[in-house]
Amino acid sequence: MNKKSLWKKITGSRVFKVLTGKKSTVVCLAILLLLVVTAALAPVLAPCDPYEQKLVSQLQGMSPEHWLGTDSMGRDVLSRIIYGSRVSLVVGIASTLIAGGFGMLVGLIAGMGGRIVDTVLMRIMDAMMSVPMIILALFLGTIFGKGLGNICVAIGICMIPSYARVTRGQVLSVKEMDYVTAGVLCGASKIKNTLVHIFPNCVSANLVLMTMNLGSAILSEAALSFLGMGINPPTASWGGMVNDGYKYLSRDPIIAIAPGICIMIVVLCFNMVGDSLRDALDPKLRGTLARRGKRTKRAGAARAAG
Amino acid sequence: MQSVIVIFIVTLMVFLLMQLVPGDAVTNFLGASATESQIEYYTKLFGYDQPVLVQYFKWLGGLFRGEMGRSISLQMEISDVLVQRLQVTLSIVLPAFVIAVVIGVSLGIVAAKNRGTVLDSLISVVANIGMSMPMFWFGLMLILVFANILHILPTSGYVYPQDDLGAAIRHSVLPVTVLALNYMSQFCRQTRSSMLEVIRQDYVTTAKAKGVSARTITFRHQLRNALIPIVTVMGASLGAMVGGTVLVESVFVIPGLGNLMISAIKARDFMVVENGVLVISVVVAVCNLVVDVLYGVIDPRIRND
Repeated sequence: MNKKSLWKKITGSRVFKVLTGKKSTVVCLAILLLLVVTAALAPVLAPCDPYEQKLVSQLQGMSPEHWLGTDSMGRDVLSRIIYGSRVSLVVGIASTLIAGGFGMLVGLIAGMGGRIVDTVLMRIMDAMMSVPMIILALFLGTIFGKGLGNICVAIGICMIPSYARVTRGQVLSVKEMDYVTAGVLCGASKIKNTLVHIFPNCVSANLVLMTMNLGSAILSEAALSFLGMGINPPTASWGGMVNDGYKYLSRDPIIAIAPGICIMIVVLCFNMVGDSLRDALDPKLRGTLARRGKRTKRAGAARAAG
Repeated sequence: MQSVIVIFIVTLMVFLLMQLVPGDAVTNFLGASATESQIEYYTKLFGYDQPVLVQYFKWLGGLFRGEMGRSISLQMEISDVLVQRLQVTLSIVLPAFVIAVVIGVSLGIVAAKNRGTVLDSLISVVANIGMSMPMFWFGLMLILVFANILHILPTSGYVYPQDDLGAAIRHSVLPVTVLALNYMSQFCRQTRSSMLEVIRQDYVTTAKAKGVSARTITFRHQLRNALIPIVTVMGASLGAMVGGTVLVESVFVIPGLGNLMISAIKARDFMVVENGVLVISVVVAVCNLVVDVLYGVIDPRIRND
């Protein structure tokens, strides 16, 4: 396939059209792109060393030298926010991938493995879901210990049940399809049938869930770091920064305000892109969206006609 | 029956997970200066020297007799502590839940009825922001504005309603608002999308043609048919709220179940954590049961099945 036709295929796809059709989604995508660039180029963009402590210049407030002031240890808040974007992005992506990967595996095994396997696995998932996510994450965080990798694994495990449930549901409906039966009749083994015919049909629903869970993962990391059970200090993490600024709320509120705004904007963008992606990929909504579009056009035309 | 099995798995899961947590309650409680014989005495006293499964079944047996055991870090009966803390948590969660339901569902209906208008966009933006805002940060911002700048509400703490009702309400306003906003956004989004699915159904057109009033159409014909997914989200949220108030309790220094869980995890007080999670999972199971019953009330087809 040459470059031109590939580009045409991408720009002509439903996902591309939905993602670029709404102004708010485009803005969110641009902000997320900015986040990725900021995280990648943190050493270049950060005006100061985020870990350099200058006790003589602590809690200085906003100034041309330190745009967002300095924290209680004299570290530049803006530089720490820039470096903190790395933690949020890594935790968001890594924990979602862990949850998606294992969740899909559990869902596939539950859906294809017969009644006993299905019952056992899904009851375990139900049990995990009946413990609130933050409590389970605190637990696992305590077991694994602090640190970036451990927090990713802890949050990832907490999110496995939702992927397992979605995948199992998809597997149960897809495995009744004629093409799967045709595969069996052609002599395809159970594993081959699962991997070639069933698994690909479960991916899109999980992709939507992954996009929507990126925001939750970032929020969970921020919450754990705020509670002092997340990322190890002095590593800059937005949740940990809010916790640091908490003590100086009256004197220098910007230390707590700025990282919180960053968390909110990034989570908001992930949620909105996730919503748009769901609209694009959810087969149930496809018809509704198309109808809505036509109806809006018709209504517009009717208004124009008088 | 299914709920009982799930609760049983939760107890086993938490019990086994707690064995993996590094450190132990006795050493934490006695401190670094404890002698070997002291550690041995307390380990034996609380039964931590026995095999894991024996400890588990002993605890389970105790539960059937209505005993949860004694907390090593708090030196109190665990059931007494949990009842007291659960009351505090519920005094924050229940008002927040009611406010979230009333405002969230109302806003969702308004947004769906005015789909595509400025009002709809405004409500969607507020709901999206409410869902994306870290609860702990929003709490801090409210403290900053209402306590530190305007000085009209207390910064933190908890007052029992039986001690001073006025002070109790003043202390609850901010935590309830924080908790309510987050869940209100979820209810609003769910109501809007569920209402949009039923808003143009044929039976709505029929009702309109019959001359039924707009209010009756909204509440009897549309909302009732849209209610199943909304009730599902509400049930799941109420369960999550009871265990998930950790952050709000931490910011506003409320002595509730969430704060108890954090301090128990830090103190490695396994028995408190296990019993706490058990209480939370029972609350979640009860919420699910209520939701199942409500399905039948809302939709006669489910009841007749």
